[in-house]
Amino acid sequence: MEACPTEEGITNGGQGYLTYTVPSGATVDEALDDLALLLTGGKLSMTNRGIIRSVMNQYYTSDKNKATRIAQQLLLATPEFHTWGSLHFNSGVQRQIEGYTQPPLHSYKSVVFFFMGGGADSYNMIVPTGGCSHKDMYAEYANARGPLALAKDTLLSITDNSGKQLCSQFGIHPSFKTLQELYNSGDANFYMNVGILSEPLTKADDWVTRSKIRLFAHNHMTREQLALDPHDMNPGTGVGGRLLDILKRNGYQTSGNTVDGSSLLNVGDSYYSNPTSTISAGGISLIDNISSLPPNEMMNLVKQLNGNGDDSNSLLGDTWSQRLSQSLHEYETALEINEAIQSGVFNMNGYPNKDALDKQFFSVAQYMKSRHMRKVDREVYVVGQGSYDMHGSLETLAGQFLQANNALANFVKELKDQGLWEDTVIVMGSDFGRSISPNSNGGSDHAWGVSILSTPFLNIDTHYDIIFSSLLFQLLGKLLDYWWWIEWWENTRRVPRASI
Amino acid sequence: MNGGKILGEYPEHLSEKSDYWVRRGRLIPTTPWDSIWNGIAEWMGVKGDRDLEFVLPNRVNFDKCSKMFRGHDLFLNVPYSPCIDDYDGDGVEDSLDQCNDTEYWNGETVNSNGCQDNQPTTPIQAPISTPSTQTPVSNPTSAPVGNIVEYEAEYATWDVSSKIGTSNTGFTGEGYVNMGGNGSWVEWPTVTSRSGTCTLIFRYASTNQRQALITIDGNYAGIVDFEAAGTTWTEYGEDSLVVADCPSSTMTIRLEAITSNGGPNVDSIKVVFSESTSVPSYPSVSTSSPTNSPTIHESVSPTAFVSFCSLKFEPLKIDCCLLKLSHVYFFLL
Repeated sequence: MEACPTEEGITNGGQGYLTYTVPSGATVDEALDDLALLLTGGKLSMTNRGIIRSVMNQYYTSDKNKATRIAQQLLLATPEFHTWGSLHFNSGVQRQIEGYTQPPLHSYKSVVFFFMGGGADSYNMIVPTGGCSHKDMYAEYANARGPLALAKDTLLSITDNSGKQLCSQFGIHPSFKTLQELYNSGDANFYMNVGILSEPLTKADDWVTRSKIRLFAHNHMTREQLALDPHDMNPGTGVGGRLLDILKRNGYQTSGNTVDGSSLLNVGDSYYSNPTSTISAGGISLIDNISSLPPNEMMNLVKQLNGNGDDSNSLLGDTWSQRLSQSLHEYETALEINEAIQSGVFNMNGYPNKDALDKQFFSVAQYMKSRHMRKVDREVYVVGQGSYDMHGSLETLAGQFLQANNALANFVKELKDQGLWEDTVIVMGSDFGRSISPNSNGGSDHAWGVSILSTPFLNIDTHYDIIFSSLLFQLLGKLLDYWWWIEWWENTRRVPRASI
Repeated sequence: MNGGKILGEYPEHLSEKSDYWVRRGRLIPTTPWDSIWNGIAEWMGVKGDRDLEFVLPNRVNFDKCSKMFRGHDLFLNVPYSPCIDDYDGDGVEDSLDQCNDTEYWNGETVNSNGCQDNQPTTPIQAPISTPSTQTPVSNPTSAPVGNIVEYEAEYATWDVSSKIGTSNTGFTGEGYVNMGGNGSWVEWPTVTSRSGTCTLIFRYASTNQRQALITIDGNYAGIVDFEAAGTTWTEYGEDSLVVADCPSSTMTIRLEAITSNGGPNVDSIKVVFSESTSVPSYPSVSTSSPTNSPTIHESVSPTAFVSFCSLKFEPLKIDCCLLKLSHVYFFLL
């Protein structure tokens, strides 16, 4: 269906239309009274009423219906429409939300958290192969894993230099050639049996109760890992966000970034208002190109409608306005960055941009390249890969690991080219590890400590960390919502579309 | 190099013999995720138990010296530092630290007592758990009288590097704002205004020149020099700026440090209107910070409130009102 020529915008994707018509002979005030009653229960603040009325006045004489459509669009962008509560006071002055205006004072560092969703089988990522102090651990591994065990001669061998493990020789999954190279060059560490722990526990403890977390379920374990706050001391925040909170207070210019979405990992304490952003691997869709007013005009009015509020305002109303203003600011910033990217300023020639995971890492590398424009010196990134939940068989594990390996190889090469490798640490994690014992389907089940985990670490010269966490067990169904960080993006899309 | 290591513990037994083996081949982790993030946080620039426990609230449940990786364990460019109890991250052990709320991030030298120059001594503090949200409230200390309105700085808003101070006496109200370095700011969000010329008079303390940019509603209004008001921080002076075109109802006044000396200690601002028409009554829309009600200040005597906050909680900008319980305990004990 084509857009009705008497209306602005494109409405063929809409689930509703602005059909209110003004009673003949009604004045602007009468029309606005009606609309305010219908859409805000009569709670429209005087300031917002004044803002909407002045715009209506410009169009009312020449096109009453257009003026009314504009009024409806604006009303749908007010806190009075979206929240329930007492009268709202609005100064009409746009909230001052601004990015960093001064160049950062410190050299750049970033953490890239690479989440392998579904519970990666890290027992097959790194395997003890020899040099063990008092027994043959490989034989014990092969026995425990049964049909899941990897043949020793297929593994990529590495030597432990910490001297703290039972064995000195380990083998990495044959798909992870890049990890072997990074490890051997001192650019990576592995961490064994890492997981979310509310306190030190053994099987002699009442570990179920004392864990304080829902063990073995994808959604809960993922959430706990990103939050890293099993006792809920600061509910709703993530470890990366809290890290950036302190750094920002320390004078660093921070940003928490997620590719095509948002992650709990990057949510900080609301006091610090740490900037977060969504890196769009596929471009940014415009949210104000089809409204009834010229683009910037509508945007500015919406900001005014959600301007600085009053202490006595309801928490919900002010929170809505604050979030909306923040979202619009982030959107505008993203547009600017995107424009620069489109213009080729941050081109990375030769980056093999093949599959979805490559594209995520590509976007991160490109975003890092724009760090000077964004004036930041401390960042956290989140990227993700799915499909590690292999209850049926581990046949696809090699392919998954290979995809991760190749994406990491491309990313690491790009960071080295950019001179950022020493300033970047990559942390690999997963919901949890998988059971050592195979299940009857020839797959493995949810477990807890990743058994192994690996993390490369990095050091100075490289900071690459791969960690795997894993914890545990009992499958509570396939709650495949570990991509739940997409929630944020969905939420931001609830920003009223000016083009209703 | 610090890479090329396998850290944590590979299970000693991959069988039921393991102390960590539960249910069909699942192992309880032996290294918490907190350990890895602890090392990363140190590498990124976080120090001290207070801040590391903010980033990692569950860190307290593990032995930090044996279970938490340190920055220098993981990264070559992080200098070694011993594992000590150091609440404020200044490198001086808590038992020796006479200033246990040092802001290590300001880069100033710390002496063997754990104090920076001019830093008041403070008792040793037990670590606090999780800071909560706080945004300072803006509240005029008095309704406008005649042609002058006055606002205390401590009720305004400010950036994270600035903080309330009470140690340098001579201030008006309940304290002053001890501004941070270059770029730090204090902002009075809704100052009563009248169109026409007005004069902004800042009461402040400083021992050297600390120039600041003044903006009104985000627009440039002028630069104020803030010359040394004396040789000590307890001597207060005034500096002013005449503004030709003040807005008609309310205005947001911001003072931003623009030199490496940082900003002065800001005590208050007075706005004097040149015309003699009556000043509008105090506006009902009074502040811009969607935040807590100022009634929190009434819960304890003002002096106790301020000193308590600045002493213990201020470094993390914790909302004292949200810590009312600790508050009560504090005074009861």
